[in-house]
This record gives sequence, structure tokens and C-alpha cells, in this order.
Amino acid sequence: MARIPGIRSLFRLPATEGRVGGEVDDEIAFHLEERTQELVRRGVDPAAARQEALREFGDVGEARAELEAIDRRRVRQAHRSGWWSDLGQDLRYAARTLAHAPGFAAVAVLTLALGIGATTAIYTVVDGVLLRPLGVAAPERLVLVRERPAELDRPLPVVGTVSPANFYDWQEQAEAFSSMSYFTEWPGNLTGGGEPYEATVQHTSANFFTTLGVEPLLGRGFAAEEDDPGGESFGGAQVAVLSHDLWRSRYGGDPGIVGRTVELDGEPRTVVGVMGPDVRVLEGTPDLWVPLGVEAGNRTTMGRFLAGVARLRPEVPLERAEEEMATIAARLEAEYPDFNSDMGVLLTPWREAVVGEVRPALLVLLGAAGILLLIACVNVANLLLGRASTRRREIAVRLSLGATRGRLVRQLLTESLLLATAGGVLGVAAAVVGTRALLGALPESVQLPRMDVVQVDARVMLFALAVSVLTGILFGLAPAITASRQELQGTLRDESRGSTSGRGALRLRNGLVVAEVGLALMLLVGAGLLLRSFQNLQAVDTGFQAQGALTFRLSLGSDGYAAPDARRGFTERLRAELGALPGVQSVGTVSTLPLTEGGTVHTAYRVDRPAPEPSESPSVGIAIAGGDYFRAQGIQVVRGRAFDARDHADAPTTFVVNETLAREQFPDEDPIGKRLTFPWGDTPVEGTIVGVVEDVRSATVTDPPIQALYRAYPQSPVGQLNVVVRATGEPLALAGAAREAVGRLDANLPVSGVRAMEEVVGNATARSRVSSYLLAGFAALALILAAVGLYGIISYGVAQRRGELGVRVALGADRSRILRLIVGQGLVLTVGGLVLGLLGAFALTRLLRSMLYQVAPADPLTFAAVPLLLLAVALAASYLPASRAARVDPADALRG
Amino acid sequence: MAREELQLLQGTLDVLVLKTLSWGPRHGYEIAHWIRDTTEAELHVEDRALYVALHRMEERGWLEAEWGLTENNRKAKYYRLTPEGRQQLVAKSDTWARYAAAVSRVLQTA
Repeated sequence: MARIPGIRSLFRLPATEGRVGGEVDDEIAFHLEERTQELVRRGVDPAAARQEALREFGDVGEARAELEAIDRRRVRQAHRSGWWSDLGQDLRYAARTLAHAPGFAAVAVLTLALGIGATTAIYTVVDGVLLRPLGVAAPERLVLVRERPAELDRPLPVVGTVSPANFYDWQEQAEAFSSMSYFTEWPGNLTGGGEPYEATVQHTSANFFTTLGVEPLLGRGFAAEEDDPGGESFGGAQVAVLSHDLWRSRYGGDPGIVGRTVELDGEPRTVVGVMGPDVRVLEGTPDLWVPLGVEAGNRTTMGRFLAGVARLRPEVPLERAEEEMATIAARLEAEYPDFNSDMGVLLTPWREAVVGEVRPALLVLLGAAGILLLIACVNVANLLLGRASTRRREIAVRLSLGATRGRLVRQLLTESLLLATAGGVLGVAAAVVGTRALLGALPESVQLPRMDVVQVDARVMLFALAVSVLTGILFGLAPAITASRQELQGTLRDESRGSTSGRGALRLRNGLVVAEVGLALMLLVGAGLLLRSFQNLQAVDTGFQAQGALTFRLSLGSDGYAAPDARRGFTERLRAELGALPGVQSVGTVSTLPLTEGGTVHTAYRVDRPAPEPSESPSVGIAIAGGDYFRAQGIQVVRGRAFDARDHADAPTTFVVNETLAREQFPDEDPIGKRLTFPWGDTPVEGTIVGVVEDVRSATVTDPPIQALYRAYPQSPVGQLNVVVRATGEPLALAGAAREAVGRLDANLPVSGVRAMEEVVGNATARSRVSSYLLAGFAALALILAAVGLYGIISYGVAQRRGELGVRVALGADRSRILRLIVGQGLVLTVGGLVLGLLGAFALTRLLRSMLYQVAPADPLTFAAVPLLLLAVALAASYLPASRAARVDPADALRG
Repeated sequence: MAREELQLLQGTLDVLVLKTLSWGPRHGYEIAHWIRDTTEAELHVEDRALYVALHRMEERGWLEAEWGLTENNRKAKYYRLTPEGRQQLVAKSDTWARYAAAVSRVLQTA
């Protein structure tokens, strides 16, 4: 404000609240002093005058308090409005400045959008899969309970690990849990009310929903007595609880569904409840739940087919529960040595059970996206630093007009934040599209757990906003501070290059480029390792011919197929029908497909040797093969024969074994003709080996095959069928005809899981493929950004040194020397980056260990090849400006 | 003084202060002195109330303040009218005149 005329002004008003108190005191003191002096001039005694002045004033203490309060309010308000108006000013100025440099702004915004978009996309997935609520109450108190053999050589499945008898013993003896339940999953056929549909059905104990802590949306859960098998070894009340999805899709969200009946496996069940949309059991939801009661019965014959879930008591830590269960397991081992030898109990926290498998990969990808963002920031920071040198005049003028450095930094930072926000908005849009595309491109069955929860919403937006702001500060702060530090004098006088502040800025920019290159190298190494890992996975010999085979699933439940003869009859007719179709080479069935979870693992051993101790019994996978299975699946018969018409229902029991079993149980003998036995139900099954087939990967691609034994279908007609059809041409072309064939035999039988065997194989390697491709994508982007950054700084250097280069050329330096000079510069920066990057890679790639297959984290091939690649790209990036430098016309350069 | 009287005084005090400053910037003591002189026998203004009025009007943006030096080289806080303050003066004077006239009219009809 202008000086008040007629007064010798001192200084302006207090700008801070702190000074308010002092000013008020001064004002009051001045008044009192003046009044006192006036009274003294009138002849009053000084002391009396002072008293009089005070009396006249009023309560000084109260006055001071009141005045201070008013002033503080005033100052605060002024600050607030000042702050806002400054911000508005900064934003407008920033927008104008950026509008004047659209090329720069576009490049910066796009680069940032890339980094922020990638990070947001991955975060969306991470948020949905790892961070959102799990669909049960208090998941941190919930554990998955499984029996665990002491020697665990393959991953433990979720279901099929708990024996009912053991479960009841745990329930009785364990005190750490407030509630324990079991469950298992079987497919079931839903008929009536629509197309026949193969539903996933979870069979659970009655207190299942209580343990999970979920309440139904309609109706109720199971009543305590509904899991009473009623004298049978299995069974339960004929009721069902529907999942939300099934209720909406199949029953139209009918609010009156409770009390109606649905037909499952040919039997009517009354619907007693419908669960809400957020309920999940582990990764997803089954279509419906039914109560299952199990008689403890004979431990051995029942086998292990359940899974357990338990809720810890509030005050009990997991470790105490684990100790208790270990004690109980030891007790059970001593009581039932045959069945429970070497079996412990594994408690897995719920969250880990749901997402544990994918968590490492997701976190790695998040880290990679973060690195990409960092590289993007470095690029933009470099752009800004480069631009700062062209704005020196403008900044110098502003400084000389009285702008404080703080204000200047704030204004430059606002520019950065504006760029970052624009980049963020664009990035989020890209992330939305990208996430959807990514999830859509994931192969069918082996998908991310909880994929339906993955979506870009407020939380993710907030994350993107935070990332944008941080990004803006990150890449904007250094250039802003550097720009504001420039010296006034030198700049206004002349625009020379090579002043001290310029050199400092250049060193900073060079350092940034080195960092970029290093980061890009780390990503490239990571991607290289994952790609090699994936290649190794793909190269694994699965033991069968996936190409050319079609498969689908049938479930011959109790509806009309209760009798073994009915099942045999059906499968024979089915084989005949399918075999008659044009384009079909061979047809077979198997109880479990290769590379699929859920097979039966039991034990089997030679008859002519003493039975092994339970702890020594070999693990043998048992499968039932029907028709021409081995030929249809492309599994080679290496000795003896496959099953054929001789292995019918009344014939002596025959087995076909795989090479591993032959090798391990009959090391130097011919297994053909020898006899094996395995316990099954009440009586052990004994049979003669008639053939040996090649090993097939049973559960995963990475686990080595275990011993396997096949039974002929007519001798063990099970209800679960995976039909495999080998086609002469394209397998999927037969899909329609196959469905029709099934429909002709039984219109009510749902056909599910129709796909080519190649898809089954693809699914087994899907996770590795997706993560390695994604990481490779990030790495490629990082490489491009780093190359651009390198190109940028070399170009800048060339532009700065035009004069010098012109002199050199004029003095006779030949073009190739100039070329080498410039490229050499680029090389120095690159090598610096490579060294840093290699160190970083060595340190960090061990984090990838769990995702690598037959590739060491410090794999020499990758660590050698990737730097070479980067070097080549860097050389190319340096060559372009170098060749421009080499063509500098000395006259031009010296003139300019 | 009782509360209501003080409040009434506050509103009147504002217009007096604004008027006083209409002739140029003054510091608090000068304003108090002037008002005392001009209305000596009639109005007793507590100094504290005056300063509260001054600070309040500064907060409202009717006055601006700046520290300056008096003739005796002593530090004093000077107030002056802002354009908005001037508007307030005009408005309040007008209101006051109408108020006084209305009251007089009533009182004169005896």
C-alpha cells in the first residue's frame, strides 16, 4: 500500500500472528503515555496522571485480550485469502507459460501419463486382489486348516486334505478356536428352472456360515441339525443356500425364492437362504451350498476329502493355535499310526490362502510400474531443467522485481503440479482402458483371484491423485530450486553458457540420465529373467499331445446314473456316438485331466513284497481311463498295451502304470504281469499291470511327475468324466457336434468346460506368461524413455557446444572425430548407468526368485545380454545428435 | 455502563471514528482526543471501547493501519479510511441523520 502522506512511515503491518501481541501492547502503551503527558502538561502530578489515564482507559488487560483476538483473526483471514489468490495467480501463470510451449507440455504430459497410468493400472489390480475386503468377517481371525504331510514335495491343494475323523477330533480337543467347520466342493447338475447347468456346489458343515461370519441376504443359513447324515455315512438335509450370482442369473433375483425347491443331481432341495453379493469363500463363490454330514467311520477308508476352516478366539494369537494343533496332531499320529503317520496340521491365514499365490507377482509388477514412473519423472525433470535455461531471463527479471525465492519456487512447482495433474488425468483414463483390456486378455480359468472386485473407483482415483502430486513434486522441485538459485548479475548481463550455475545444472541432468539408464536396465534384466523362465515352462515336456484334442466335462450324478451299469452303458454309447462323428480320430475319458488340480493321490504297492510302512508308502496318483484315452490324449504306451475290450467289468482287474512308477517300484524288472494293490474303500484293490505309459505332468508344469496308476473305466465307473476327443482337424470345430451328441443321449446332462486341450496347457503357464509379458512391456517402455532421455541430453549438449564445435571444425578436426567425441559422451553416461543398474539388479532380482523356473536370479546369460542390448540402443540414441554435430557448419556455429 | 448502552454506543462510535478520519489519517490517541474535545461535555467514550472499534473496523476492511512516527519521533499506529470505509461513512451518516430526524419529529409532537 502506498505510504501515508504527511507521516514518516516506519514499516508495514504485522504479517504474522506472532507479532500481533507486541503491536497491541505498543499501541496501548502509546495511548497511555500520551494521555499521561497531556495531564502532566495540565499540571497534574505524574503519578496521579498515570493513574487517571489508566482509569480512563478501562480494563487494560481485557482490552489487550480483545484487541489481540480481533487482530489475530484479521491476520489469519488475510493469510488465507492471500494464499488462495496466490494459488490462483500461480495456476493462471503456469497455464499461460505451458500454452506457450505446447510441444514441451505435450511431451511432458504424455511421459507422465505413461508412468502414472501404468502405476495406477497395476495398483487397481493390487487394490482389488490384495487390499479389498475378503468377503468374510474379520478375515485376520480366520484360518484355513489342512493336514500336511511332513514331506511336502508338491503344493498342498485346498480341498482334499482333511479327514472327517481327524476333523472331529480337532473340534473336540482344540481350544484355540471359537468355531470350526469343514467344506468340500463337488460339481452338481442343476436341472429344472432353465438349461441343465453344472454348478459348483460346496458341501459344508452346518456351522459353516457362522465360522465365516457371514449373514444371508434372504432367509437363513443352515440349522445345526441339518448336517446330520441320518444313519448313512454321508448326507444331510435336502436344503440349499444359493449364492447371490446364481440367484440373480438363474432365478431372476426372485424375492420369493426361499421355500421353493431346486433340483440338484435329480433330487429336490428346498432353498432356505440366499447369500449376499459380497460373500466369498477363498477366491470366489460356489453356485450354492448344501449341508453335509459325515460319519467319522473308518479313518482309512474315508480318506481325506475335506478342507477345514476355523475362527481363532479373539485373544488367541496364531502361533498359540499352531502349537496347540501340532500337539493334537502328534497325539492323533500316536493313536492312529497307520493313517496319521507324519501328518501335521497347517494353519494358513485366510488372506494368504486367497491371494498368497499371486501376491509376489503383483508386488513385483507394482514395483516395476513404480520404477517406470520414476524414469518418466526423470525424463520430465530433465526436460524442465533444459527449459529452465531458456527461461533465465524471465526468472531474472522477476527476481529483480522483488519476487522472493520461495514464491518463485512455489510458482515453478505449480507448473510442475499442473503438468503432473494433466498427466495423471490422462494416465487414469489410460489405466481404466488398460486394466479392462488386461483382465479381458487373461486366459479363462486360471485367473486372478477376486478379479470381479478389481475396478477403478474412488480409492484408485485417490491413489492416482496422490501419485500425481508426489510425481509433480518429485520432478519439479529440483528444477524449481535450481532455477531460482541462478545469479542475477550474470544472467541479466549476458546469456553466456558455461556459467557456474549452468554447469551445476548440467551435472545434475547427466546424473539423472545415468539414473534413468540404470533403472531401465534393472527392469530389462527382470523382464529377461521372467521371459526365460516362461520359455523354460513352455519347453517342458508335458507327456501328452495337447494339440488337436478337444475336452469337456460331464458329471454323471445320482440322477439316473446311480448304478454302475448305467454309467458304463452311457459312456459306451457316448464313445460310439462321438467316434462316429466326422473328423474324430479317437475318443477316451479320464477322471482328471493332466495339468489340472484335484486328482486323487493315494498309495499303491507291490503285492509280492511286504507292505511298506505307512510313512514309507509311495504317493501314487490314481486315475480312471476309459475308451481310447491314451491315444486320444497322445500319451505314448512304452511297454505292454493300453486298456482295450479285454478289460471289461467282469475281467480280472488290470492296471496301466506310468514310467515313474515302473522305475521306482520295479527298478530293474519288467513291470508287465506283476501285481499291485492299493487300499480303496473297505477292500483293497489288487490288479495286474498290463502296460506302461509315459509320464504326464499331473498338477502343475513345474512339479515333476509322481507315480501314477490308471484303472480301466468299466472296472471302476466313476461319475466324473473328462471326455477327450482327438480331432483330425481343428478341435474346437467339433465342439458343437460333441454337445449335440451328448444331448442326443441325455438332454438333461450339462456339458461344461468345452475347450481345446491347448487351452488347458496354456492355463498352466498363464500366470508366468502374463507377468513376464507385462514386465517386458514395462521394460520396453522404460528403454524407450531412457533412450529418449539420453538423446535429449546429448542433443542439448550439442546445441550448447555449437560454437566450440564450430571452432574445432574450423581448426581442422575431421567429422569422424566429432562423431566419436559426442558418441563417447553418450557412452560414458550409458556405461555409468549400466554399472549402477547391474548393481541394482543383482540386489533386487532375488525378489523374483519365487517366480522363476530353472533360471537363477543372477542368471549370467540375461545379465550379459541385456546390457549389450541397452548399449546398442544407447549408441543409436547418441549417434543421431552426434551425426548432427559432425555436420555443423563452422561459419554458422561461430556466427550464432 | 450496562450492556445495551455499550452496544448502542458502539454503532455510534463507528460513525464518529469514520468521520474523524475523513479529514486524514490519525492515530488512536488523536481520535480519542478529538472526540473528547468536540463532544466534551456530552459523550464519554471509554478509550478501550474506541480501540476495539478501531480494530474491528480494520478487520472489516473499512480502515487501513500503518505504523508511523509522530512529530516527537514516537512510534504510533495510524489509521485511515479505505474506499469501503468512505462508503460506510456516507451510509451511516445518512442513517444517523434520518434516525435523529425521525426521533426529533416524534419528540416534537408533544
